[in-house]
Amino acid sequence: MTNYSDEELLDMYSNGDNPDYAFNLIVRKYQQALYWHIRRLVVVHDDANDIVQDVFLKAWGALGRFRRDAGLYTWLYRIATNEALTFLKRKKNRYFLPFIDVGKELAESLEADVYYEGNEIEKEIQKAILTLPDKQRAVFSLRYYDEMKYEDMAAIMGTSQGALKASYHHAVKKIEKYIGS
Amino acid sequence: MTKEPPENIRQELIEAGSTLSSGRHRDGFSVPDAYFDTLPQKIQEKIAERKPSDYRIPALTGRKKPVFVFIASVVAFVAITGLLMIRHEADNGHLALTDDAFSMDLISLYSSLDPYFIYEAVLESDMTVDELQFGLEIEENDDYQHALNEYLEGISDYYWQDANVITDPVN
Repeated sequence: MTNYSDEELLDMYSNGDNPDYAFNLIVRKYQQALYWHIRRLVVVHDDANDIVQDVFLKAWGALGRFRRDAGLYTWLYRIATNEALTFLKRKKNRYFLPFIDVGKELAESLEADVYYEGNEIEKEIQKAILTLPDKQRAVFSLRYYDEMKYEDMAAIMGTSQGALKASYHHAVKKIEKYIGS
Repeated sequence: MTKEPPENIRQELIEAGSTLSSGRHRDGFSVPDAYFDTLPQKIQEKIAERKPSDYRIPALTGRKKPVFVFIASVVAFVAITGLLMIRHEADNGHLALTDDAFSMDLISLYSSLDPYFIYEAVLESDMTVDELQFGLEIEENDDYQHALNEYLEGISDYYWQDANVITDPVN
């Protein structure tokens, strides 16, 4: 991982002689955080792999016009979240499946996934998370696994901190109910 | 980025009465060996494949515009226009929008076009909405213009860019 700050990386990208190198450093800095965030939403490694590559391709295309009103970190997370949610939406539209079936399908993918090493408790938590609506899953993942502040989450999800707190609270309750049943 | 202190996350779970507060749980996902060592290289290779300079040729108007960008812009506009036409009803031989809001919903549902691609296409080409209309020899129509503006602003918002960049006249 690079030790450069986001500002330094952006300056290097826009002012330097080698923007490709600067972008490569950005990829190295954020690839793991973005990949894990996407993976928690789409579950399957191959899908997460495709999406994270698309996210960086799109970031590369738009970075030259990035206005720095927002942080690079929240901007990348926003693209990643949107891409993952769009992927899930298209998946549902493609198969004409109601919400619960996609959740089941993802849970089955979890069972068969060779790149899943969670213990029984962790797997049960994942299955509980998969019963949540997609956006609520994203909220739960950002808060519980990424330990993100509501302020940053609000910038990424494009909603208020109050709405996010309520959504997270309901998600926790639903997960608790699933695990306890 | 600063993370939320773990004790705050835990306190939140305790207050919600959740057993998740008993300890930290991993998500359990893993990746193939050396995955993150090779990912940056794969991304760089994809970027190299998509360098816009590969597509640029002199434009008829004297400005350098990638052909594919212009085509993509035209395709985007035709798609939007086509969707609007679906919602038109014949009214004494004239066409009129029946429901702007519903038309916008139809546009948003048109998922086969990659919104980022359209956004990039319009932006890269330096074309404005007026230029798009002029290029397609479509008479000025407030409904079309409004719909196209709304659509492009939506795409801008999606990627957190300045909507004015692509909806205001360049010159």
